[in-house]
Amino acid sequence: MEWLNIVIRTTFLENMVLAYFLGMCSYLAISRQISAAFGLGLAVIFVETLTVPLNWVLKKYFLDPGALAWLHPAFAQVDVSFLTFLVYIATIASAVQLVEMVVERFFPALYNALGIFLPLITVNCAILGASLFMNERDYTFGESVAFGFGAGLGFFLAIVLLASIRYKIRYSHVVAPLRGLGIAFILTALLGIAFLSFAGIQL
Amino acid sequence: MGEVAAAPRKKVSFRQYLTHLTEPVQRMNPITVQILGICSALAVTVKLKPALFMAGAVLFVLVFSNFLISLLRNTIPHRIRMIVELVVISFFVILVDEVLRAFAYDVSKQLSVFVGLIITNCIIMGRLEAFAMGNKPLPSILDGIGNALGYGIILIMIAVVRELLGSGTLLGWQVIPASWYELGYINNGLMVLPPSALLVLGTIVWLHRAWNKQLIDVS
Amino acid sequence: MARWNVNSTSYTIVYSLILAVVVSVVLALVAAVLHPYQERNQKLEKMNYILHALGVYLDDPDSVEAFYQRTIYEVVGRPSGEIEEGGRGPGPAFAVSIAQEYKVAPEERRLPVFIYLGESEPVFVLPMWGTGLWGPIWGYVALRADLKTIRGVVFDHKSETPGLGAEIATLQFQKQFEGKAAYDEEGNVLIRVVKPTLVQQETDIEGLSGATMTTKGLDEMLREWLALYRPLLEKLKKEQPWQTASDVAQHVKAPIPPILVDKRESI
Repeated sequence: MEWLNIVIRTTFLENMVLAYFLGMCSYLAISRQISAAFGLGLAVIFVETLTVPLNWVLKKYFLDPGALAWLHPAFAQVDVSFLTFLVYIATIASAVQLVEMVVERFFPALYNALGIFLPLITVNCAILGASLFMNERDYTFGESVAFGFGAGLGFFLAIVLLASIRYKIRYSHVVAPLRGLGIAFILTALLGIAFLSFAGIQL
Repeated sequence: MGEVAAAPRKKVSFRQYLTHLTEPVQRMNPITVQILGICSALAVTVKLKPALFMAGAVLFVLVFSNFLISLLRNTIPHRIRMIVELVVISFFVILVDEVLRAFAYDVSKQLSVFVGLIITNCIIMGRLEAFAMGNKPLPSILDGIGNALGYGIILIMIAVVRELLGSGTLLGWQVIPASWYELGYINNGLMVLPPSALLVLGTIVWLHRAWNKQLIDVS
Repeated sequence: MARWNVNSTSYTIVYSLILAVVVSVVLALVAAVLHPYQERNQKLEKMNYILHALGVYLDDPDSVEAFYQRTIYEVVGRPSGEIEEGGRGPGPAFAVSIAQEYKVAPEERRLPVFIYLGESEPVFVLPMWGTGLWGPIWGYVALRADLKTIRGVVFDHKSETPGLGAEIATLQFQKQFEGKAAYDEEGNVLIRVVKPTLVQQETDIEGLSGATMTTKGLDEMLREWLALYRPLLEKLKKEQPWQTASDVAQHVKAPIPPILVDKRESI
């Protein structure tokens, strides 16, 4: 089960937040409340599972050197890979916009829960990061779906974990200057060390 | 996102211009106070050299996109505002990436995907939205420099601590003398692992807020 | 800019079109200008891997290229031992991406071999590719003409743990391989990379403590590729295709200045 392997690897071993520090801004800003963290986490899973395979298709049929050959043999020499970043971020921005409109129209309850987090996702580094890692690692289409989902799940897990811990320590006596942001950093570091112990597990 | 939208002023003295430069370095530091731009920053701080290049790249992208967006600010259709900002940022990021790959190949390999992630560095998006969209080009440039410096200083602080304690070197030069190692000194292995960046950053936030009591989180 | 209605649909469409065109044209120009430099960097990186495996260290990019062109003959073969192409470097083998070949079933891979002809005996440099703990690892093994003794190795990695698995890229680690026997008399792969506590035979390489998975990946990579290269190496040794190739005859005979210095700092 190659796909399951990728999902588990990206969720636990190569966790977007705890191993690569991607998506930190919203991770720290939205983890004050569990319910909000839950909503953002779900939105991230959704958008990542959508955009990573989408960008994979664009890479395969547009961005790779010689990828335009399917249009016309004369394009076989064309290399537009310098547009990679631009295309990826455009895909993400439009996917987020689209998802927002669809959800608003057909699932108003879900929209109310996710609504405010959706636009934030465009500039969530974990999303673009997942697409860029996909770009570097030469996944197949199936693998890119698994990777997108796993990366989203990893973010979901990490943010819900942090929100729960921050909820638990609400009444703890933290040194004043360390309250809020400072302790959140240290908590994330400790979580990251815990996640490191998953390293090397192969399925 | 940044919340300090400076209202356009009529008469601006040199002093006021200067505050655009100095405020973000300390009191409104993008990383330790506004929680922006942490994402791509921390993974490149194992060694000082990539951190310096990263700080430089962000400085370049932030200053130029702030300037360009400020120039265009009255022509941008409101509906596609975010997309236009993203396109402008991506444009400069791609420039940086191409130049690095041509003239600083080893650094560009070390930074790998993190150059591309400057696009989603919330500092840049935040400054474009909060400042460049409502201010003239000159203050926008200063604001860009100030915020990039505030970002770079934190990045360099973390990288110095991590490289010194983790590898015993700075910019690749051996700093901790060999005699110490003979006496039993060993490099701190934790410092080269990703979580240590957050520990160092947490400590910096602590020291910063202990020194500037106004910043203490009351919630 | 009050002449136009900034928020009208037509304005928005025209604006985004102009923006897209301007941005992509400028970027295409920049990419076209910088592309030769980027390609040269990649070429030099690969040449340097090969030369470092041989123990040749040159600082100046031009002399790297010149030295490579004068001394390296390239062959692309098959695991069956069949020789497909040969030519002066950078040529047929240089174009083969070992990372791509790694994805193909072992018996169907194309095997690039870089043959150093700067000394009386040829030296075979064998590229290889494998998987470490976090991502790919790769290396170049320089084998002497007796098809047994390792002259030198270079390993590198994408994202192994700094201070642990990443140590495979240090000279200190790679030094261990020099003079070790890669194959036994029958041509079976002899060399192993094992845990420091498990070193048994003289040819065992002491792996990295604390980096079990990287060590294992390195061991698997070496043994897999060395076994694949063996038939090809025997054929190459027997046929010596570089002797007959007309275009290389001259550069083989040209005397090579000794620039074999060991000055690489640990990476």
